[in-house]
Formats: sequence, structure tokens, C-alpha cells
Amino acid sequence: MKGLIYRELYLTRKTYISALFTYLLITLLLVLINLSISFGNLKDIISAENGESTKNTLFYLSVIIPSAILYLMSAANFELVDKDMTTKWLTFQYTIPVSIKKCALVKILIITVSIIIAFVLSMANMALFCTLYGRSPDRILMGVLTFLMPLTALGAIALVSLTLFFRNSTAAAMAILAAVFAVAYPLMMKLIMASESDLDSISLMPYLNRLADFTCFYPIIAIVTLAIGQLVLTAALDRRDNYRIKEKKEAPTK
Amino acid sequence: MNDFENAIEISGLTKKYDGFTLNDVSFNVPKGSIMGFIGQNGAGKTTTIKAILNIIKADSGKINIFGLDNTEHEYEIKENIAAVFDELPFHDSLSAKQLEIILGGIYKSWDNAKFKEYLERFCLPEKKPFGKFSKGMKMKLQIAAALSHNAKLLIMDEATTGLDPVVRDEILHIFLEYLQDENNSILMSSHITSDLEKIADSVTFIDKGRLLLTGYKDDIIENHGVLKCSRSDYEAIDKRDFVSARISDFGVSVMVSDKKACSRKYSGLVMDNTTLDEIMVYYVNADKKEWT
Repeated sequence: MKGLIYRELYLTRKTYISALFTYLLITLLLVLINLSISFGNLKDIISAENGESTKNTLFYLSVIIPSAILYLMSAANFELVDKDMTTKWLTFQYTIPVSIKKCALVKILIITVSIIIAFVLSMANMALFCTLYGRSPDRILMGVLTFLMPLTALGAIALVSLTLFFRNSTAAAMAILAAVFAVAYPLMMKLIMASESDLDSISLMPYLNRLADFTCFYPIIAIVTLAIGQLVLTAALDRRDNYRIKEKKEAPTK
Repeated sequence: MNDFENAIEISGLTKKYDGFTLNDVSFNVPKGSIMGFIGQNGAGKTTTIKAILNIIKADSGKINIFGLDNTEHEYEIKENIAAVFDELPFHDSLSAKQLEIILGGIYKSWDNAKFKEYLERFCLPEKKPFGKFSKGMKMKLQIAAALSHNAKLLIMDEATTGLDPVVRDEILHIFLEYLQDENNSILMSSHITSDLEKIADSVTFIDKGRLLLTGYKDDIIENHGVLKCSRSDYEAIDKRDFVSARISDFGVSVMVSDKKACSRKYSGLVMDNTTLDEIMVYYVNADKKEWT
């Protein structure tokens, strides 16, 4: 199993490194914006018009954007499944003395570790910007950042499983996007209707407050999601019928 | 695990696909031997190999490897099996150095020193990514990896296809070395019969999912022969005595499966020795009996 972990890490290292680099770069950029707001040219502009409100928005964006990048990184290894199919590693994987359960566990472990890293770094990021903006850690932000844990776990597992199902990572990503759109569109419509078509009055705060009420449950939900994900991935990887379907087409003509 | 007679025992293997059926295939690969698994493209060689490796589930039949059921003792068996495919199943960005770490973490009996020895012997660079390897280098790398975990059974699916004769010869030589250990066995699927003629101890012919012939190569070659005759002589030959007959403008070539008996029975006709290649062609056309 050690070999499989090494393989996954080695082959996805560039995605993780570039995600970390992007995270650091964006954080640096947002720190510079903060410094400019506090001591530089932006100070006068911001103070002149809606100072507090703009600062507030910038603070939230500074915490959420780099964190979202880190969480996205956790779902990055689905493309490896695509490559595994192209290089016939998946076929080779059936010839090695490692059970499919363990092969799935390797993927789950890597998703888990990257979610933990994303969470820890997003907390560090929040601490940094709380210091810079002179605020105490925000309950709502904690809620959002923690909520991203089960959401990312679900997304990562869905992407890997659907890539195995469709035998194509693009099709899997499109299916996820379609699902996100199907969920997000009615929610957006509901929000707009609730604000009586006055877009300026749309407020997410009540929803974010409710989200923050359940913060302590999100890590548990993430663990449960990952445990279910282990079963789903095992089933997806063990779909040797996948190969039957492929062979149905290939066998007579090969 | 050493107490077995046949490295592979297959009985009644059946697997149905839409438009193709691997039908009741049975054969054994004796321990310490190399078996050539011959058949034209689409004959069912890969399907059989995938069933042996439990990559696909058979509809019926039994497969024993080292005397153990291949599904019940799957991982115990796979620790002692090496599979070599026609394409390198490792990512282009990996190098031999990384492969050593990966496979070293997978196989309990992985031998780093042996792997390095093979790399040196095959002149394979340790740090060059596989994407920059030639087809021959990729195949040598697969074989180096396959032989470095002390596998007792090597299963190869069209592994020598597409390689130049020099590389093929080098690889065949390695297989003979590997077979010096009498516990080691090889199942080698190929449609290049000349390679198998050089090294195989036994052969199994398969066509359209049916087993046509299995046995020791020398016996098969010795028992088969080609009767060369004219059209009129051919009419006199009993149809039950031959596999199939090739009819051309110059005469008729008839493949017989009992050379000695036919030589006696048709003593006036010329009986030529045959090759695996010829046997395969005549058996493939056995349904038609006569072909041009």
C-alpha cells in the first residue's frame, strides 16, 4: 500500500504544489491590499466611501478565496484516474497483490489528508487576516470554512467515482457541474424571490448564520462522507464489468 | 505453494460477451515450462488471460494457479505472479527510480538489487521518464519489473508484438534464463509463432473463443504434417483424416494431425513437416475444411 500512496502523491504533486503556490500568491496579494488600505493609497479611497462595508467585504474575501483554492486542491486527484485508464494502470492494478479495498483507501487517505491540510491552512489564513483587519475570529467564517470539509469530501469522491463510471474525467466534471447548477439555481431563484426582485436587498447572512449553527457537526459529516466514500470507491474500482463493456466492443475486432 | 504440478489449470472456462464467447476452454501450464498461447487477433487470448488474473469474472469454469483457486486465494497468488502487457501500464512521467519505490511498496518480495541489475543489463536509464522510452525499452522495463519480485509465474499478453527481432531475441533469452529455476513457469500469448517455436515447451491454440489444440509443442509439430498432392489425389483422401486443405492452382496442401498414420495410409503422397504457423492457419480454417 505504501507504494500506491507514493505513486498517487508523486503523480499529483504538481497539482498540489501549484495549488499551494496559488494560495500563497493570492494570500500575499490580499495582504498587500490590506496594507494599502491601512497605510497606503487605498486608505483615502476606502475611507471616503462605505469604508467599513468595503473593509468587511475584503476581509471575508481574503479569508474565503485562498481557503477555497486549498479545498479545491483536495479534489484535484480525479484527473489521475483518467490518466490511470489511459495508461492501463487500472488493468495492471488488478494484477498486483493489493485488494481493491486498499486501492480505494489510498485515494480516500489522500483526499482526507489534503482536506485536513486545507482546513489547517485556511484557519491559519483566517488568523492572519483577523490580525491584519483587527478582528476576532468570526463565527460565520468558521462555519463556512468547516462546512467546506464535508462539501469537498463529497465533491472529491463524486469526481473520482464518476470518472471511473464514465471512464472520462471531463464527463465526470460536467456531471458534477450540472448537479451543482441543479441545486444552486433553485436556491438562487428562491433568494431572489424572497428579496422581491430587489437584488440589492439579497442577504446571505440568515443562511450563513444557520450554516454556522452546525459548525461542530461538519467534521463528523466529513468523516462519515469519507467512510461512505470508501465503500463507493471500492465498488467503483471493483466494477470489473467496466472492462467487460469495453471488451464487448474490442474482443471480436482485436 | 511449491507442491503443485501445474502452474495454471483451467477447466471449462466460459465467458460470454455480446458477439463473442470464450467457450469451455481447458488447458494446463505445467510447472517449470513455457506455454505459448496462440491465436489470431480476437481469438480470446486476452480474455483468457484476464480471467486467469481475475480481471474479469468468468461465467463458469475453474482456474487454479499454483494449485489454488484464483479467486479465493487471489492476493496470495498475485504476490507470485507477474503480468506483462503489450503496453507499458505506468505513467509517462515516472522513471525507473520511482517505479522501484512504487513496486517495492507493493510486493513483499521485491528485490531492489535485482531490479537495478536488470536495468543495467537492459541499458535502461534510472532517471529518464518512461515517456521518452522507445517501445523496446518500455517492454524491457516491464520485464525487469516483472522479474524483480521473484514471481513464479510470468503471464504475458502479446508482450513481444511490435518489437524488433533483436530485442525479441534478447527477451526470449531472458525467459530461458528465468526458466532455469524449475519452479518458474511462463504463459506467453502471441500471434508471432516463430518466437514460440524457439522457446515454448507446450502450446495452446485458440480461435473464436474455442480451444483448438493444446499439448507439447514438439509432439504437435511431430504429429502434424502437410500432404502435398494434386486435385485428383486429394479427392481420394478421407475427409476425417485431415484438419483442413488449402486448394491452389498448383495443387492441394492438406494438414493432417496424425502424420505417421497418414504417411502409411497415403504412402504415394509427399508428406512435409510443418510449423506452428501453418498448423494455426489450417486449424483456423478447419470449419471450412477446404479453403484457398
